[in-house]
Amino acid sequence: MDKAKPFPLLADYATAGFFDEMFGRDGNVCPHYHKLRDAFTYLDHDEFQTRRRSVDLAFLRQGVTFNVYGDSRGAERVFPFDLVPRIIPASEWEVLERGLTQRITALNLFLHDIYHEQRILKDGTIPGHYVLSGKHFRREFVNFSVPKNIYIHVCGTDLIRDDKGNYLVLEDNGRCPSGVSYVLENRRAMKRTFRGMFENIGVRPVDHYPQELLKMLQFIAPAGIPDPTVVLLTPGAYNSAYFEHTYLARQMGIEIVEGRDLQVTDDRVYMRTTKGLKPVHVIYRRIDDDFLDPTVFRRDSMLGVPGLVRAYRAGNVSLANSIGTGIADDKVMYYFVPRIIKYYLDQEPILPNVPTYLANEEADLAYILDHLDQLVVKAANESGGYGMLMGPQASKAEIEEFRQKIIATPRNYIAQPLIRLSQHPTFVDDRFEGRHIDLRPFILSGEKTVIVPGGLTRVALRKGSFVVNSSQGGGSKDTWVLYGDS
Amino acid sequence: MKFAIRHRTHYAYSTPVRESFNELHLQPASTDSQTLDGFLLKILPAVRLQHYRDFYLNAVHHFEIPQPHDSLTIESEFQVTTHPPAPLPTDARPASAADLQQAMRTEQLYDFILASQYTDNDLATWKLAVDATGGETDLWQTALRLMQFVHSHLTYQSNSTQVHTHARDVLQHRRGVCQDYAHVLISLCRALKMPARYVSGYLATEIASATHAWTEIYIPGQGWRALDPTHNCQPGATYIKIAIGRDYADVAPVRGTYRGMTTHKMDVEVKIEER
Repeated sequence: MDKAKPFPLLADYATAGFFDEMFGRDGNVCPHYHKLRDAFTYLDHDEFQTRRRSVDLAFLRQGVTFNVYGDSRGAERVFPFDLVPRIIPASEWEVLERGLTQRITALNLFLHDIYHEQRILKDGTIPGHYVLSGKHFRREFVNFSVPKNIYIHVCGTDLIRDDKGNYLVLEDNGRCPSGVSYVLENRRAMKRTFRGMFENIGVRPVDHYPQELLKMLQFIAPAGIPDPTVVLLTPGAYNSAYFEHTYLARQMGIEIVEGRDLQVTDDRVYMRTTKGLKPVHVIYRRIDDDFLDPTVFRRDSMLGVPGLVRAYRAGNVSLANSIGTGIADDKVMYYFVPRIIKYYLDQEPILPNVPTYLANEEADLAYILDHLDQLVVKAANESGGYGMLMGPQASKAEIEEFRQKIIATPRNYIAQPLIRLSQHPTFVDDRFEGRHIDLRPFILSGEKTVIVPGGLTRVALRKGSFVVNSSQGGGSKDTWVLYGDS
Repeated sequence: MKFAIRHRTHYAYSTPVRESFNELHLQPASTDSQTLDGFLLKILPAVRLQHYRDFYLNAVHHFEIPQPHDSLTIESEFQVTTHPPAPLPTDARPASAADLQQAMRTEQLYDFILASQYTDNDLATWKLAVDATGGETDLWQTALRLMQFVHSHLTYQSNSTQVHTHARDVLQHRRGVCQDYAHVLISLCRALKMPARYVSGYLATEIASATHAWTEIYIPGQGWRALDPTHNCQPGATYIKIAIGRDYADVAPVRGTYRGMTTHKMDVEVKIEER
């Protein structure tokens, strides 16, 4: 083996001054990538291409797709998949796991508090107006106790690494995070394409996720139901994550329903079936609060189930996630998460936040407006890379537009320095180049906190881009958490 | 004063509807200014009624009618005793904006200085409010001037607006009913960062009227003070309060949904008698 070319496909690969997951700080292949390197050594360009094409085809045939809003080129697209896996050594994952568990524990305590005693607001740790002005704070649910006191049952927390390789939390998705189906499908594709490699390298499995999810959903069922019926509630085929909804329902062996398939009678939820009405006890809902029940939330919603909230209040049905978790997603709340962890757990955060400025604070606002060309500005309640300004890459007109928006409603914006995301070798245009990545682990809160090793590694396929969202030209990689450190 | 009130809402559907779900804000509050002596709610077709207290501690009743039905009657009957606080003199100067800073720390006020579903908090509203108050620094005096302004700026005209009309449109057409007057006064107060909230209720002197709506303004040291921009006065013993909220959207007397392709006809009848 030629030592200068650890594997031939990476012959003229450049790390270009970023932190590279495979080559680390010193430019040598990191120990946890050694076995992969060895396995890929005998793979030449043509061979690699062949395997890549077979994976692409398999994805298309199985309908592993997503929808893009505001795109006229047909609704469904294949989520681009890159064959080079991202690898996390055991010791690193152990820290991530502890950090994520700490974070979700604190967030669930926080949600319970702000929907009950509001201690954290009353003693001024978080100014009350930030919670009360949150678009997703549900006044209707103050003093309502959710089953088992769990608010966020499924959380997708986005992690990034900076140019020194430090892990940082970018955001928490505590409403209806999606992407886990790609974690499962990516792994299946890799297993088919590179048979035998997983056992040799010692990669921890991910395929138990649907069972863990189902176990959690059954755990939160109303008391006294020995064999609860769980369903997945989807907004329908036009939702960007519809593939995932059908996929998870199939994997768990539960029914997938739309609002019109459910009905509420006498505070109980029933599913209309060909054999008549069947009681439903737990709903894994993949539709937003606003659309759940037109009686209580948006009256124009055709997606929801009239009376569902009533059944929920009566304790006859459990929802995952609970209503009102969106306030924890609010990017202004994100700013306060380190304080939230300290407050409820009396611990320092294991995983730090990205430094954040709140446009609603006068000093921060002045700084933001003076440095718009250097900062990333985000709308407090948007996701998927929408409503965002990448200062360093934005035109003057875009910057001015955001300046006006921020001045008009400062509560709705935060700003962060541009983090130079870590990069990973990625196959683009016939060769390997560094592309920036992030990581979204999926955290399940049931009887205990369960995190399937790894998560979804998203990769920004456009050269130089730091935006990894699938709706903005991102792709994904399989994520390997090793049993050991090499 | 003591009153007996009956409030009946009747819906007639052209063809039967089913799976009707409704939430009601109909039970008056017992507060410092009134005591609820008795309350009865009757629904036809017969339903099982449930209730909870919302974020602003208003009583909310809710019910469902799964089976097909071609009419719905919601009738509340109650007895109430009003004992309002003495009106604040119109030349009083109890508090300034600086006093408000201190009070704003109480987080419950924050909800009432933001824009809400039917009110604005934009630059145009702010300009209007500043022009109407001419540099007045006392909060009570400011509130009185704004009420006076709304009262003279708008013309009362029945059926000129709907229940879902936004304060912005009211200001544009300068016509409306009590609900619109209240929304405009709320917008103007909030534009000046004065906490203001919506009150739904009844006015006993208006024979043949349905419900009424007015506004409450928070004055440090005085608490929430009621102002009725429709009549340009401070509500007294003839005002009966049902619920408070950020605006009408929080306290709509009846809101609900049903399944069915139909048109409906609604009749509301309010009868108020002194006991």
